[in-house]
Amino acid sequence: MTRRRFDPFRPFRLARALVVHSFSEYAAYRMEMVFWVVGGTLPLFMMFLWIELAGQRATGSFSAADFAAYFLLVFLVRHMTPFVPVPELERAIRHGELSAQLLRPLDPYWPMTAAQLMDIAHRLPITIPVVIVGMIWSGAWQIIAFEDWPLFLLALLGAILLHYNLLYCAGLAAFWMERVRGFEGLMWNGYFVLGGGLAPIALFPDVVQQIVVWSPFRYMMSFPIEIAIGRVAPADTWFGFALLTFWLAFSIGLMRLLWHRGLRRYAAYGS
Amino acid sequence: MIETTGLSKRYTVYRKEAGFVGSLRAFFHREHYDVEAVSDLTIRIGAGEIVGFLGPNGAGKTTTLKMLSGLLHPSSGSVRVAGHTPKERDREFLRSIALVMGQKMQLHWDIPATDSFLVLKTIYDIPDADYRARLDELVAMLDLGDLVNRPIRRLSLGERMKCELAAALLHRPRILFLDEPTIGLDVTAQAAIRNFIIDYNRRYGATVLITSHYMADVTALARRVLVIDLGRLVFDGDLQALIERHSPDKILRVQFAEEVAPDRLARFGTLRQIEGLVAEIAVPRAIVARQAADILASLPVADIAIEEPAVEDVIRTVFRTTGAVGKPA
Repeated sequence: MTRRRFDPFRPFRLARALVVHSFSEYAAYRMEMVFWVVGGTLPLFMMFLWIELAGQRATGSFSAADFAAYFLLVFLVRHMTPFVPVPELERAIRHGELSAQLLRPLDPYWPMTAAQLMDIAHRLPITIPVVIVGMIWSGAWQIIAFEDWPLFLLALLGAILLHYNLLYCAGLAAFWMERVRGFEGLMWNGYFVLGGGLAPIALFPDVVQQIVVWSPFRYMMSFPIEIAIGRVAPADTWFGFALLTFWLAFSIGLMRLLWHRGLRRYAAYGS
Repeated sequence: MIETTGLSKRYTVYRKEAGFVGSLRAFFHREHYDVEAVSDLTIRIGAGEIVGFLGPNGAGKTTTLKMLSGLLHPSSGSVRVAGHTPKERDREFLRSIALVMGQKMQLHWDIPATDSFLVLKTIYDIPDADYRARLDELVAMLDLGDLVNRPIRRLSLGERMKCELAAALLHRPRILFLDEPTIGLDVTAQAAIRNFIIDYNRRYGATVLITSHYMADVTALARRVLVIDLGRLVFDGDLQALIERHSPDKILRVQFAEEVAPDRLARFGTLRQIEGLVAEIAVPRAIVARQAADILASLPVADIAIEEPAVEDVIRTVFRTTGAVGKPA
C-alpha cells in the first residue's frame, strides 16, 4: 500500500480552498449579512443604558466613556460570535447529511471552521466602522490601551476559538440527543450574562466574580475586552492566558472524545 | 476487493403510541427495542466486478453500503474493503471509494458544481493537470457542458445527479457504491447514467456495487446479483437465471383511448390492475410481442409499453415460491 509523502503546504492549500468555497456560499446571500448585523445590536442598547446610569451616579469604577468603550467592544466581539456549529451539526447528524462529509478524507471540523471564519469576515466591514465611529463620537477611544492591542488580538482569537469549540461540542451531543438547540440556549445565557454581555464582570458581586474568573465564559468575551480597555494587571494577564489555554485544551480534548464516541453511534439516517 | 464475514448491524429504536397520551407516556418512559438491519452477511466481490444488490425496502441494502463505506460501525462481524477496515476511515481508504446516494445530494445547493469540484481537488490532492483532464473527461462522458457552472438548485434532478457522479468520481475511486443512482430520473437520464457507469468500469476497472429499484439498471449493469431480505443474504449468483426462474412474465402497460371492460382484457394475460384508462397485464415473455400486437389491433389503445417487472415484484415472487432461493457463495 502506498503512503503519501508529508506535504507541509497541504494545510494552507486546504485552508485557502475551504475559505474560497465558503465565500462563494456566503456571497450567494448578501442581504442575510445585513440582517445579522442589525440583529446583533443589543450591546449598543446596553451601552446607552449604562452610559445613562453612569451619568446620574457613580457605577463602580466605570465612567460613561468606560461603558462606551466596553460595550462597543462587546458589540465587536458579539459579531465574532460563532453561530454555525450547533444548528449545522444538529441538522447534519439528525438528517444524515454528515455522511457526505465523512466520505471525504478531511475532518468536517475544518470546512465548518472555514464557513465560520467567512461569516465573521463578512460582518467586519459593517461592525468595524460602527465601532470606530462610536469610539470617536463617545470619546471612548481615549480609554483604549493601544499598547496592549497585540495581547487583545491574541485573547480575541482565543475567545473565538474557545467559544467555537464549545459550541462544536454542544453540536456533537446530537449523536446522543439528536436535538441539541437547548444546549445552545444554555450556553448563550452563560456566554452573554457571565461573559460580561449585560454588564462588565467588574460590577458583579465579589463571590460571582471569583467564580466567573475560573469559568470559560469570561474567556469567551470579557477577557479580551478587559485587556483592550486596560483593566487587567500584567500578572493577571498571564493568569488569564493560562486559563484560556487550559479551557482551549479542554475543549479540543472534549471535542475529539465526543467525535470518536459519537461516530460509533452515528446512524446516517435519511442518507 | 470487498470481503465481509458475519457482518451484522443492530439499531436500537424506540416505540411510541400515537396521540397525546402516547406522547406523554413516551416523555416519561421510552420503550426501546432492537432492529437487526443486517444479519450475518458474508460476501466476496472481486476487483472490477459490477454487482447488483437487490432486496425489498428495508431489507438492509443501504445499511450494508454504509458499513462498506465506513459511515456505520458494524455491530459484529468483519469487513475489509481494498485492504482497509472501513470504520477506521483512514485517508487511503477514503481516497479509494465513492458512495453516491440517489436520494441525497452531496453538492452545495447554492453554488455551481465547479466551486465544489475545486474544494474536492484540494481535499484529494489532485494535481492541476490531472484535475483539468479528469474534469474534461467527466464533463464529456456525462454530457454536462456548461451545467457545472450553474448553481445546483437551478438544475433538474437528472442534471444534479450527473454533477453528483462527477463530484464523486473526480478522485477516480477504485470502488463505487451506488445507492439508487437513477431514482426519480426520466428514462433518457437513467440510460445516460447506466452507460456512464459501464464506461467508467471498463476504463478504470472499478468495482461497482449498485442498488436500484429499476430492473433495467440491474439488467444493464450487473451479471451477478446479491439478494438480501430482512438483513439476510438469500441469493448470490447470476441475474438472468434469477429473473427467468422467478419472473416468467413481462408487463404490458396499456393506456386506452376510452373505457374498456376488464373482462375484455383477460384473454391477453393476467390482469394485474386497471385504474381509469390504464391497465397492467402480465404476459408470458415468449408471447408478449404477439399479445401487444393483438391489443393494438383489437382495442382502442392510446399508448402501450412493454416493461420488465419491478425488481421488488421479482423478489416478492422469489420469496413466495421458495423462501430462500440460492445458496450464498
